[in-house]
Amino acid sequence: MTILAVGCSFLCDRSEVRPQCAVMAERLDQPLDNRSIPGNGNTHILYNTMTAIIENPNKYSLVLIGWSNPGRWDFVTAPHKWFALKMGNVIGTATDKKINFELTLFKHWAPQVLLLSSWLRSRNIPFIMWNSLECWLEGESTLHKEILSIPEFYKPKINHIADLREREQWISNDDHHPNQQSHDLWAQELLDFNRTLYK
Amino acid sequence: MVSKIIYWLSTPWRRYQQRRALARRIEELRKRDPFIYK
Repeated sequence: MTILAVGCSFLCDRSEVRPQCAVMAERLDQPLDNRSIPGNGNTHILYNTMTAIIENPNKYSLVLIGWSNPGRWDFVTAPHKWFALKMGNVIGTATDKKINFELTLFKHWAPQVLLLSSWLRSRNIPFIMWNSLECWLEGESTLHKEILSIPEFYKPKINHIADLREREQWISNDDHHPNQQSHDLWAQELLDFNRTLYK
Repeated sequence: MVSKIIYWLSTPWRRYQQRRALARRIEELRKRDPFIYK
């Protein structure tokens, strides 16, 4: 059996730094199928997670999802060539409406979380998910409550980028991707979470 | 009628203010998560 990981650059190798999903696979002594793409958003995560599982229905023992920033609008130039528009760069000139940008981002992300969770459960595939980048927005809507009640979601209100910046566990001042210490820490916490969830 | 004309004339100013407010909010998001732009 294999572990499937899908996310953004926070789940990818970065020169010598090995991501949390690779550390987890090694500790669980299972091969890793890592389909994460640097710079991409959550549409890529849904699409490529579902594709991997539909194409390999009996391959995966665990799925790891690291949610990306919902301000990334994914697009393709070829079937496997993904890019993303960063909406923060373009939204100011894209509409004259008085947009609530933060709430808009939440409303893109929240249904994706619920749909992927339900879909993975319907396939009986164990999974855990967490926020690599900032996704959560405080609120009291029914979708807020639903997300907080997902047992497989590791701390929906926090995210890896905020945690590593608080601990100053970045690669360099110019590169705020997690360093090895941060990845090792998150790998351990996620392994503990997974063990408790699926004991 | 006069108030409608004043409202119409002030449209560019209101939109400029909206764009500035949006830019400030996005800058706040960028401070917390720089990858919103990367």
